[in-house]
Amino acid sequence: MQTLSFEKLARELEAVGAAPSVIARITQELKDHCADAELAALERGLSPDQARRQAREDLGSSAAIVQAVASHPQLLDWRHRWPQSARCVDSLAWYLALPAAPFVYCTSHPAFVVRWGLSSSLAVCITGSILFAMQWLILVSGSL
Amino acid sequence: MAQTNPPFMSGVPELLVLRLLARQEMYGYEIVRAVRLVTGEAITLGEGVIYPVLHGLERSGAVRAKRKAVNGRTRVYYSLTTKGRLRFDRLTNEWDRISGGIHSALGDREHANA
Repeated sequence: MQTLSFEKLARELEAVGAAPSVIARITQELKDHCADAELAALERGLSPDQARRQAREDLGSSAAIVQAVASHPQLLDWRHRWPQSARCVDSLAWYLALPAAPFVYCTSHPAFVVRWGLSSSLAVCITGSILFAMQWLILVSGSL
Repeated sequence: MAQTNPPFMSGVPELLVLRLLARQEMYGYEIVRAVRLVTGEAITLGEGVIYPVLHGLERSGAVRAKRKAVNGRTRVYYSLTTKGRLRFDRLTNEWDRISGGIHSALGDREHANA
């Protein structure tokens, strides 16, 4: 049987949406539990290695613990508890952030914005000059 | 390895935890050992599963958690609240009703076999 890894368990709990405070407390209590079980196993005459393995095995699989956490909605973070509210908040945040996006982009990339501004100005000048020249040619040819 | 419990045991760990905490405050490891003892090892929990159950009960206000330093180690002790006691009474009644129904059904089967 595969022994429980606390790091893997924490990752799995995070993946199902357990609240960070719940993850921290559960893993700490499981570690304490494991220490108690290990001590009891040593007292029963098991070797330190056997005692450690036995204690971890008795905790059960991480899948069972994750499933037990997931079955208690009050142990999940608010995004997983109220997914529809989370979607509304996300949409609202995007709605508020979109008008600010160009401003934020300009302040974070000033060199690019200056280059883009100069290029645009140059393009306006060239296009304007060509249009002006064409207009002038039309006027000159019309007067002849 | 101890035999694991079937899916219809859902809800039983909660009932047992509330029963044990109704007697005295306990910490997780103590609760797991006590469950084995009082059920004659008929009910064997994956020991780690007890913590989500305890935390769920705590969040719903049925139990209270308190950190205590005992013999140089910090343990989290759980005790029953008034709300927890009411919940325990409700679950006990529910369990009695269900087990009575099942017992009655199995009695009928024995009758049919006879």
